[in-house]
Amino acid sequence: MATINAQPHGEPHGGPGHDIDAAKRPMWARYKHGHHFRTQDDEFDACKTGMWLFLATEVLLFAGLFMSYTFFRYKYPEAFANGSNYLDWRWGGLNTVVLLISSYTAAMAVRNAQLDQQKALQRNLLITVVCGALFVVIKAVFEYGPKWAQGKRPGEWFSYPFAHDAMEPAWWSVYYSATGIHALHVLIGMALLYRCYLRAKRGAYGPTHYTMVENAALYWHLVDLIWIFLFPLLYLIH
Amino acid sequence: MAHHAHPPANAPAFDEVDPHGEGFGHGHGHHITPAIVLQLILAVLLFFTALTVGLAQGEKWISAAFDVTLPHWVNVVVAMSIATIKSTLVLLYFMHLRHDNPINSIIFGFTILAFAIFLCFTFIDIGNRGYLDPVKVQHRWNGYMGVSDDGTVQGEAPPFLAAVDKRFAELKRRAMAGGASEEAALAQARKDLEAEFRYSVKGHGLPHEDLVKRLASKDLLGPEVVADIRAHAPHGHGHGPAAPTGTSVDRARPKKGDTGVLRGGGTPTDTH
Repeated sequence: MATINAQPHGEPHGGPGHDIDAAKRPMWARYKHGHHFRTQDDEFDACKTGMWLFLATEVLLFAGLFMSYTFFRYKYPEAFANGSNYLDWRWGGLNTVVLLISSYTAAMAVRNAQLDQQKALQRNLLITVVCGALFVVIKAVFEYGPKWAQGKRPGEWFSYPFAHDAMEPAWWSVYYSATGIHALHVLIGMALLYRCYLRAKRGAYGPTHYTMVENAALYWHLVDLIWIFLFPLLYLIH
Repeated sequence: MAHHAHPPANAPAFDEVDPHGEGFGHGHGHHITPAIVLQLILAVLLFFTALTVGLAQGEKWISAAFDVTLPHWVNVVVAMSIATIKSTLVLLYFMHLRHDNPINSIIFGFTILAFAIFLCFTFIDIGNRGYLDPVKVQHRWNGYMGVSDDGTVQGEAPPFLAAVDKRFAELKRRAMAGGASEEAALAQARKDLEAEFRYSVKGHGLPHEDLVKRLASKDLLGPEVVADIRAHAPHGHGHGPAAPTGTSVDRARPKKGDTGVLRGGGTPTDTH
């Protein structure tokens, strides 16, 4: 195996003759774990724990945003109640439902990969990506767009002339930074899941190898988790 | 390394992926969540979403119907309890923590612990500013935080006040881009600003009193127009008091140990 392969671990060990049926087996079954791992499971567990470590840093990133929220809301409760009143809980609620459904399809995709249900795997991955797109479109078209046009903007950019509270620019700063960074995560999650979908079409994932699906789904669930807290904190204050 | 000296007679052929017959390498070690469990979790999550919206609306309704002010923490505690339940379900079932290697739960647990410490220390800080500010205020020098000792604001107006002029300039610019002369553009901008003002008051009640004053000045809408809008403003709609006066810090709930030296007094210290 001297040739450089795009799939460095995708070829079986043992040389020609050892695995005669290699070409006939699906891509996921041909996957060979990294040589520094004892088993495929060791590799899977290590990858997943690595993902959890990364998710921990993500939680801490959002912890900073939640802290700025806490600080400003504690200091200016009226500004936050006023600001929240400009948001329509129906759009926020619809987006919550969209994200919860996409989280469910992401969890189902992992299950489909574990059970070698290739068609369902592709379908669930695609539904998840479409739900993510729907989330971003609802946010941009019905929330960011009109609010920005009316001058409800963060900090120094604030130009809404009919504020009820002196600290409303601070509310919008917290709103845009929290939801904006969250929306960025939705876009990244969509890219990861779409890559999963493209590879799933080539049969890359199955019962013995679905690390990428698992980790992309974990990332997606974290995005969902953050929104579960952002939704009541931003939309349901009074 | 452990060796099986005598493999059972019915042992499968040697498997290089799983040389010790531990059942690894073929997905057997992974828990596969039943579809019905995932569907049930989704249903529960949707139910809790409806519940948290319903309770928030219910709290609003109770405040309005019985004319009581519910303590601020009710809203926070109710919403955060439901969010915690929802996120726990996502973590345990969607993210598989329940049937996973415990190391992943430990990692996540310590992250939450770090966040809790972050939260606690911040509360110790902001919860005790009231004790510190009276001490600090004695050492305040003229111009500290943009406010002179006589309470006048130095430099630019705070963003929420500057917004009026920003918006007016924007409307005028738009009219001029449409080919209007300076005079016509000014008239058009006044008309547009008045329409926006009326629309906003209809939906949310009168804005901050300082903004109403600014809008009533001669170079903007003028006192007559603003007096008319004020006369027709809805009361008690949307934002509680129809015409909030003073800054948010004046109306903020008094906090324990807070003498309000830097926070209140009508000085716009906190707007910077």
